[in-house]
Amino acid sequence: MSGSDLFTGTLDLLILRTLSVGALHGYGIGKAIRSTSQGVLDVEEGALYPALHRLDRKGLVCSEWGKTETGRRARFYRLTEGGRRELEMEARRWSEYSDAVKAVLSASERGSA
Amino acid sequence: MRYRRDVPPGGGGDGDGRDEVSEEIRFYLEERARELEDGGMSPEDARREARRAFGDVDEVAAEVRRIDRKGRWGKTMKTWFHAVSRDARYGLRGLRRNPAFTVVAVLTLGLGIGAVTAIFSVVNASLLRALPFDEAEELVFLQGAYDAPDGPAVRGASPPEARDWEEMSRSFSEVAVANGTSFTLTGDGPAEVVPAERVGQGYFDLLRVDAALGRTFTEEEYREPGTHFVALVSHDLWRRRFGSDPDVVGRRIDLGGQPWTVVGVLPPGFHGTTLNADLVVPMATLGEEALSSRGSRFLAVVARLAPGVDVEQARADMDRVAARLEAEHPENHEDRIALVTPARDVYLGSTRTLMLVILGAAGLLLLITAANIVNLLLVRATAREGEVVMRRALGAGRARLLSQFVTESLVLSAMGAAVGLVFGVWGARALAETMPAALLPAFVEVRPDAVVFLAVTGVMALVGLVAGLAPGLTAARKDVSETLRSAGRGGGSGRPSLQGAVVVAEVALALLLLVGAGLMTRSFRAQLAVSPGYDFEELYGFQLFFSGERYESEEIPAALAEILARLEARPEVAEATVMSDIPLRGGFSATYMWRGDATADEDRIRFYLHRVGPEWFDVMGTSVLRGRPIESADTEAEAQVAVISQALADRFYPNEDPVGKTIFLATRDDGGHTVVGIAEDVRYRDLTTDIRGGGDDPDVYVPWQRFPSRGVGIVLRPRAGDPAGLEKVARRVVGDFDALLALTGTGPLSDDLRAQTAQARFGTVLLAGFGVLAVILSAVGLYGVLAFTVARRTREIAVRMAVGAEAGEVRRLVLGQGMRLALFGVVLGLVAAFLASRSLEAFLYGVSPVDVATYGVVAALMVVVAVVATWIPAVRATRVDPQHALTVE
Repeated sequence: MSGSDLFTGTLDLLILRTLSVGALHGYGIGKAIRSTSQGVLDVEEGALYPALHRLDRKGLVCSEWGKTETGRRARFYRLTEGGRRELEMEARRWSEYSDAVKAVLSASERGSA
Repeated sequence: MRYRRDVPPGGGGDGDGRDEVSEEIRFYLEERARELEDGGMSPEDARREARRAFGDVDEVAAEVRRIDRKGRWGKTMKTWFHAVSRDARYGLRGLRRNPAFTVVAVLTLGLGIGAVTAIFSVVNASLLRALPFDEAEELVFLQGAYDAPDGPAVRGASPPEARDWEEMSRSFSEVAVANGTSFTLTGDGPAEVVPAERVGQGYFDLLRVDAALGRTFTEEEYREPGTHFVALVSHDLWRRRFGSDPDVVGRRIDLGGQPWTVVGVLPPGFHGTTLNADLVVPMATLGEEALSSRGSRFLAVVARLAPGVDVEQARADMDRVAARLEAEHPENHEDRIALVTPARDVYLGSTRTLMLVILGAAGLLLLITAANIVNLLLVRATAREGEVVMRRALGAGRARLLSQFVTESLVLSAMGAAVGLVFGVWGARALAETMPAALLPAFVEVRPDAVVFLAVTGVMALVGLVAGLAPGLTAARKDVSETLRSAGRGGGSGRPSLQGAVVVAEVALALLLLVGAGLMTRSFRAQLAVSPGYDFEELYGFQLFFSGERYESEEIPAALAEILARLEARPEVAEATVMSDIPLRGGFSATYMWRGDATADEDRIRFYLHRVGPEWFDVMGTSVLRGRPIESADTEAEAQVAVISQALADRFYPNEDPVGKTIFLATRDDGGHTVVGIAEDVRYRDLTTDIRGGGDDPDVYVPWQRFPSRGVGIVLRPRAGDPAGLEKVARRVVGDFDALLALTGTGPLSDDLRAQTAQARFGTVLLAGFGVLAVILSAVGLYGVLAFTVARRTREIAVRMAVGAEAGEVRRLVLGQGMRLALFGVVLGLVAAFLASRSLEAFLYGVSPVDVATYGVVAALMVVVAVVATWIPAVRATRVDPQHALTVE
């Protein structure tokens, strides 16, 4: 996986994860990602929008216009069935990957010991 | 996050993406700035920082728009596809949950589509497909006919007559003669009777046909009588009998004991104008004598209309020619006319009207099916109104609901079409096999018509769509609360008047069909009831021809006597007799006779002469009503006696006893014949013409020895068992006597009778089948409407019962409604039947198209069916539990 692939993959995954709890508008998603990643994934915030729209096109999320509690107009995004499944698959893949990495690291540690 | 749905900027739908994207980003920036402000920044700094953290706004916006543009189409397609398959699955589930509705709807669709497709395929094939001749539209047949009181009777043309027609007429570019016959082919295999056609000069040119192998006939072969025994074989015969031998040209074959030479093979699919000839020979082979007899009418004449001439002009022309011939040859051409009939009508004409009637019946069935589908869907849609409204309240879009209904409707149509396809294919095949040959000429190939199937399915799908959508549309538009309330009350919309009207129409149509079927059935039974005047169930008959090459005229009686003796000597045969022609088996011609010494024209009657052997009346089972039959003594002596038919006695001798009187049968000076008896009328030519009323000419019987001829018929009565079993015996005896004597026209006499009624039988069975289907469908429709009404008026019924109405009263209420609909339909149907009955007149025998008994019986039947159909909903209505109905919801 190249750097950017890894990156976009990560961003997509984060978006899906964020939406798995409930529908959000674009700003809300961005805020949630910033807070949960604690600033580690510091990225051009605008990159969020192409990612969101791509996911929408792929059918992993769907969107519609609504009014916030304060009465402002915003576009709200929601996870679709397909998105949910994708999330599970990705989460599994990540955990398998990190297990593999962990195994390698611990093995090499032991090996080198 | 909770939010309330809103309309996107720009109005909705796809809108202007530009606005959406800008607004979305603007929202983000504003919120981000506010966040920073809360963190302590100044509004201006916050805004700037938000912008900076975002990145290049314009670039992002452009990219997002790019993505949107690309994705919009794909996403729409995908969503649409998912929506449709989801709807389809949902629809299927719904259909599965209501098995009764589904089965009824699918069967109704299937039956309707299948029946109509099958019928249309067959009718299409027989009415519209091309004749197997080039430029067949220009071909006409010149039919020699006798101008009888109740219409022209086609009898054929004589060779000199045909020549005169060709010379004297001005309307035809080509004329040729043909005559159907058969030969016994021996050698190269077992003896086989092969249908054949004798043809005159110009025949092949006229039909635009040439030999596929070898050649057709030369001028000498056409012109020199009794000299050139050459033949053309059909492609089938060549393949079958001669193994497609490439050297068949020039080969000698044996026809009727005579050597003939094959000069060519005909192209595949060509079987002459008789449509089943396997051999074609020159007319000249018949010999000089046959070809110069002006009174011998046995030829068919085919012609091509000259360019610019139409059938009407040709008819006028031929009227002129016939008149001229009558003037020039009064003894042979009196009352003789020439009909000009387009080839299409000759081959298919007799069937056209019946086909159209059948087509009409199929159309009615289609209407009834459509009506039933409409009703079924209306009922179901109304039943689901509550569900629809609920879903709308929960946020389902109107478009989504409609598309769901559409998909359901299409699924139903697809299932119905599948069933219909099976029925249609099977039905077309079954019809083609059971159709009598007269209705479906040999060259017509019946294929289940794909176009018709698709058209019918399309119509049904459309009907289903409209019927399924209509309630959906109104339900979607209605105010939610009002509909919920009324649905809860057990009410709801549903346009009962529309459904009622549909059912009334269904009942009317079904009645129409049933009346047609009833009339046809009565007509058919009347035909069957006609006594043909002889024991057709118990006799077997065949025909022999003693050809001039092998038998001198004087040898024939002895040969016949020997054959008869040998036949009667067989244990299987009880009795045998000989005759000039077998009833219903053709070979007739009429001439004139006179009563007493009269010379006036009123004393002249046209009649059919039958020469019969001894014991004929016994063997045939024909009763002699007065006097005595022809006896053996008559055939020995030169006694000139005759037995006349009842019809003749009524006409010639209305007030006197004919026995003992003299009649003159041929010329004036043969001394006349003494009438010795009166026989019951025998049906020689058809079953339905009114013999006694003068619709056909009567018959006279004379002893066999008078006016002998070469063609004879022999009839056998078996000692026991099925007359068909005598076939083997007959062939054996004749074959032993003379291996080259061909038997033709063999078969039990009952076969001829069945062939006569075949058309009527077919039409009757078909119409009856339609009638039954129609009744079932309309009964289902009636039941559906009433069940729905009861469901809709549950509350009202409950109130009535709570207030003290008896079960009987409730039942009567429902029954009353149902019977009102049914009776309305019956009356409408009777009126329609009365108006439409004219079209059936041509087919009805022995029953008037406005036969009260039939109408009455059919109406009563429909009423009974209606009562049965309404009974169940009526009973259900009485089971309404007032308490339950009033407290629920």
